[in-house]
Amino acid sequence: MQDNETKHLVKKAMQKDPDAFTALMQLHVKDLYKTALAILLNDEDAADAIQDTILICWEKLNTLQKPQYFKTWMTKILINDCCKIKKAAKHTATLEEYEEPAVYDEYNLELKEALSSLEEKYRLVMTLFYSEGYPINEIAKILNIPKSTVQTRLQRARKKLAKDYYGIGKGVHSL
Amino acid sequence: MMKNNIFLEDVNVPEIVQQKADGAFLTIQTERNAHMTNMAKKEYSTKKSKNTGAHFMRTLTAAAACMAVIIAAGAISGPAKNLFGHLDMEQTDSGKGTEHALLAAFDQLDRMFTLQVKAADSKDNSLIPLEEGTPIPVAVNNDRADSWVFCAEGDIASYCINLPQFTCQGEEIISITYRINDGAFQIVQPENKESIIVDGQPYDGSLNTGSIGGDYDEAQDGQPSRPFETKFYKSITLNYEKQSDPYTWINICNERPDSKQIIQLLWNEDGNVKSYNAGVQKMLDGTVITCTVNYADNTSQSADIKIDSCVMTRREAGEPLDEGMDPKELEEKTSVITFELQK
Repeated sequence: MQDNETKHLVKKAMQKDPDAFTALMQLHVKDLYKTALAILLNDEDAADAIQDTILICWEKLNTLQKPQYFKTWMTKILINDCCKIKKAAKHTATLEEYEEPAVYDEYNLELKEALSSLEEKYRLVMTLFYSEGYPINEIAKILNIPKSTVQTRLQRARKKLAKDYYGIGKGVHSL
Repeated sequence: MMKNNIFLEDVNVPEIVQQKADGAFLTIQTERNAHMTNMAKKEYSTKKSKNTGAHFMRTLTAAAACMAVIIAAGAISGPAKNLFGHLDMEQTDSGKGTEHALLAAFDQLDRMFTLQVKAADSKDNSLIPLEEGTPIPVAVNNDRADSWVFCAEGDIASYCINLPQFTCQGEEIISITYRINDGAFQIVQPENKESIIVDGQPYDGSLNTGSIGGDYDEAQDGQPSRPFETKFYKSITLNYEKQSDPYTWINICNERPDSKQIIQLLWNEDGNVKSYNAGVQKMLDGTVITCTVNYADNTSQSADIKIDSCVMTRREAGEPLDEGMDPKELEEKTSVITFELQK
C-alpha cells in the first residue's frame, strides 16, 4: 500500500513534475537496490540498472494506468532491466563461461553472502517478500508466475538458506 | 518468521548506486529545459546515423553527471556546450553490453503505442484498443462493407478480412509498418490517386480471394465513382499522419489449398455455428500481423496481432436492428473475427 506522500508524489510525477518524480524515486532507491542486488549480486551492475530504471520510469510514466501500482510497475521495469543486463553480460562472456560477479565489496556483505547462497529465482522472491514486503499474489504478478510457484520458491529458499547460510542444526537462525 | 532474517535487515545504499541515481535525476531536471533537450537530440542525431531514445537518455545522464561535477567545481560557464561535448565523448566510450541491455529493456516495456479497431461493442463508432491476451471481436461491418468474406473454388478456400479501421496511436511516431506472416495485404484503392501506402514489400505470388471495397460510391460527395485498383503486399508502411482515407481499403487475405475439411466445416448443410467457426479458425490458423511502430528518433517497437474468430450473438457483434427486422434475429449466434494482441 502506498502512503499519502507517495500517492501525492506519483500524481505530481505523472503530471511530469521532475521534482516530484525525483523525490518519489529517491524514496524507492533502497528498494530498487535490494531487488537489483537480488538479481545481479553486485553494486555496480545494480547501480546501472537503477539508473536505467529511473530514466525509463520518467520516460514511460504516462503509460502507468493506475497510480496505486506505481511501485509494482517500477519493480517490473527494474527486473526486466536487470535480466537484460545479466543476459548481455553472459552474452559477451565469449571465452570463459559466465560466472556471477564477485559479491564481496564493502556494502551489505552479510546480505550479499546470504543472497549468493541462493539461486536467482529464490533470492528474488525472498527479497520481494521479506525485504520489500510484497504479498505473494503481487510477487506472482510481478514475476508472471503462479502464486503456488511463489510459495514453493519461498519455502525452498527458506530451507536452503537455513541449510547453506545459517547452517543446519545450529538452531540459532531458525526460519 | 525467523529472528535474524537477513532479508529483513536494513541495507546501506552504496555510493555508486546513489551517484548513478543522482545522475539520472540530474538528467531529468535538465529536461526541464525542453529547448536544451531538443537541441541535444538534434545535435546527437546528426552525429549518428542510428540513434535511440534510450541510448540518448543514458548518454545524457552520463553527461549530466559530468556537468554536476563541473558545476560543483564552479567552473561551468556554458552548460549546453559542455553537455554536447560530453555527449560526443560518451557516445564513443559507452559500453555496448549495457547499451544493448537498456535498449532491450525498453522493448520489454509497456508499449508506447496503442492499436485500436472498430470493435463489435464499439459505441458511436469509437475505436477500442487491443489488449494483450484479450481477443477483440470486430464489428461485422465497417460502415462501408462487410468486414470479411470467405470463398471457395474447388478445393481451395480463401478469406479476405478488412482491417477494421485499424489505427495506431502514440507519441512521436513517424510511420507504422504492418507485416503478415501468412498471406498478403490486399489494398483496394482508387487508380491515379496518391496511395496512403508509402512503402511496402509486394506479395510474391498471386492470390485469388474475395475482395472488400472498391465499389464505394462517391456520388454522395457529389463526385462520380472512379476506377479502383487492387494490389497485394507482404508488408505495408503507412505514415502516422495518414493511416487511412475514405477511398482505401486495407484487407488481409490468403488462400488455403487442399481445404476440403475447411470447406466442409464452413458450408456443410448439416453444420452449425460452432462448426462454421471451427472452419474459420482452421483457415486463419497461425495468422499473425506484426505491427512495427517507427519513432522519430529512429527507434521502433513491435507488437504481434493474432487473427482468430469466436462465436457470439449478432447483437453482440454490433449488428443494428434494421427496419422490419425481428429483434430475435439479433440473438442468433454468429462467427466473428477477432484481433488479439499477443503477450
